[in-house]
This record gives sequence, C-alpha cells and structure tokens, in this order.
Amino acid sequence: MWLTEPWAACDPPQKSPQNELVDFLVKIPGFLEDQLQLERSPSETGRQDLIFRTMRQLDHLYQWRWKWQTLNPDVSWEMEPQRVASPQLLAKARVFRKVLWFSSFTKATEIALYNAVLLCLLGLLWTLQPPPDQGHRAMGLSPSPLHLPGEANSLLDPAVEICRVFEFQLLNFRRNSDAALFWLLPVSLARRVLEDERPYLDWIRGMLDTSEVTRGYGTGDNVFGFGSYPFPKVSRAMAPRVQP
Amino acid sequence: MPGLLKNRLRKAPSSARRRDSRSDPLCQNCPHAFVTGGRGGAAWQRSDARAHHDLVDAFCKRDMLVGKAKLTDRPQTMTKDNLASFFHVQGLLKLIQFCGPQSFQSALRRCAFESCRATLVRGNSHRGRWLTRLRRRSHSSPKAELSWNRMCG
Repeated sequence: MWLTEPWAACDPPQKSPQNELVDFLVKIPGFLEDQLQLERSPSETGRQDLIFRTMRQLDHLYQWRWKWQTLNPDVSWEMEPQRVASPQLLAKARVFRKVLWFSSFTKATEIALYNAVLLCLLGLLWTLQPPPDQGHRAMGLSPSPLHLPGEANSLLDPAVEICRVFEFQLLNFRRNSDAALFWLLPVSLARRVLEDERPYLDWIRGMLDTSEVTRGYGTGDNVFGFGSYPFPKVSRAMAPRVQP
Repeated sequence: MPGLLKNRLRKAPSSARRRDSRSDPLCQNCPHAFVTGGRGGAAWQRSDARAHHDLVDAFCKRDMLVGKAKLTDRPQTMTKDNLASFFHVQGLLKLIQFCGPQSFQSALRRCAFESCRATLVRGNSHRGRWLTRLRRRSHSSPKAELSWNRMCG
C-alpha cells in the first residue's frame, strides 16, 4: 500500500524513475535482516528463498535499466576534460582521462542510484552464492559508455560508474534545480566497494574535498548508512576491466 | 494522537524539545536553514530541506509540534551523533505511519513523502547486519543503551 497509495491520485499514476528505484531500496533492509537471521541460524531453505527474492529484484532492476536505456539512448557520452566548463573543479587525482557527461543532472542521478541499488543486490546475492563464471558482455550493441544489465563482472564496475557520475554531478549541481533523493549514498557505497583500490579512493576523496559541505564525509565515526555494509570481495572469473 | 505515539514523541531528546516551532516558525536553528542559508549545499539538500519543511507544515496542522521539533534534527548523513540520527529517523517513521499513505496524495505532500521515504531508507540501513555493530560501537553508555533498547522494544 505504501508503494502505491501516495501516487494513486496522480493522473496518470506514475512515479519518477528515482522513486521507482527507491521501491527497490526499501526492500533491501528487510533482505539484510533475513541475511543476518541466516547467519545466526543457518537454513538452506531460508538461503534459497532469500536468493530467489534477491534474484527476482535483480531481474526487475535490469528490466528498469533496459527501459531506461530505451527511453534515454543518447543521454550520456564521454568528453575530454578540456571541454568541461569549469575544469578547475575537477579533482587532481582522477583515474579516467575522459569525463563522463550527461544531457541532464536528473539522468545522471538516476544512473547513480541505479548503480547503488545494483551494488546492494549484487553484494547480497554474491554473499549468498558465488557469481557465475562470466558475465554477459553486450559490448558493441550500444554506443553508451554506461554498463548495461549483466555486464558487471565485479562490484567494482558499478562502483566505478558511480564515481564517474558523481564527478559529473559535482561539476553541474550548481547550474540546475533538479531534485536528487539521494546525493551521497551512491558514492558512499562505491567507496566502500573500492576501499582496496587506492587510486579510486584518492579520486573520491578529492571529489568530496571540492566542497566544504562534503569535505571529510565518511571519515568520521558515523556508522549509519549503507556505507557500513561489508561488501563481498568477489568477482566473476575472467573479469576484463577496460579503461577508456 | 495514539497514546503510544505520544509517549514515544515525548521521549525526544531535550535539545529537540526546546526547539518548539511556536517560537521558531522558520526553523532557524534546524539544519534545513543551515543548508539553505548560503553555506553551500547541493540539490538534494535544497530539495530535502524544502520537502521536510512542507511535511513539517502538514504535521503542524495536526498540532504535532513535538514531531516538528524532532523533524528539525540534523539529517543523519551529516552528523556524528548517531543517537540523535536514530531519533530523527524514528520520529519521521512514526509520523508518517500515523498519517497513513493516503495523506500524501496531494502533490506537495507527496513530494514531502518521497523525500522522507528516502531519508528512512538511509536511516533504516542500520537494520540487519549493522544492528549488532551499531550496538557494539555506538551505544556504550548506559543512558544511550537504555534509549536504544527503549526505541527498539
């Protein structure tokens, strides 16, 4: 009822893409409670049930992503950093030469949140069972620089994409008034996943330090939030990581 | 107001109770004024601030002023006070549950609900795996432990 009733009076009844993604996120704390229960009292039936529910959510999430890709086929591209309007705002310790760019702040926000949900679901799923050997590489099917469903060979892929989106957001948030339901949650998750990757950590810290509001974020003792989640250090076999 | 909810709201931290909305209609001491007062802040903060104020106003019409004081606590993402963050999230949850989903069908209140739902997702992420960790790390003092147990039932 809480997933539909507040939007029932809309004509037509439609949620924004961000709110559709929040519908995925609201289920994750319950999944994690079940995971904790399984750790306390292991049950194969319970584990299989949780795997099934997680995979079903993942399937729905991929459907959301394909729909988003169909509706927004050309909203993202890569560009040289010299073409950025305010290149001085770029962090010094960048990892990628090119900057990932979007046609709007909202589209970037949606992709960042999608990757955050993907991290949560894949992290949970791969904790419960090892990932299959190889992902589905759909390279060449789309000119989009974004990962398509099933392409993530490890949690690093969506985490890195979050970092690139966050860079765009930092460069553009002052020039728009679009709402973002989640601002630091995706990059907080990404940093947790990338905690063993020093160049990425330095990049994230550099980006956060560009604003006095976010400077030092996540370095304190606040343990609230998904950023405290111990993501599994697993990946598919033969995980190619191509840096443009 | 249901008795249980009233009792829970009365247990708000004294610092929150002092920020009565009657004497502070613009919530000048709250973080929303902080993020909208020119000290920086990104789109989400402006959006959150506006939406929270809208929700606060909606609740004020129901004379839930203690709830308003609770809503003006700092967002949990920007504070190191975990117990205050916990109360903030719990307050939001109780107030939204009290109103029911049908109360948020107008565009203004739906916007407020969407923002608060996102806040609850962030705040509720301490459930599950994080529960034991939080209890071990963040609630070491007897007073804090008591508050935590009271809220968790």
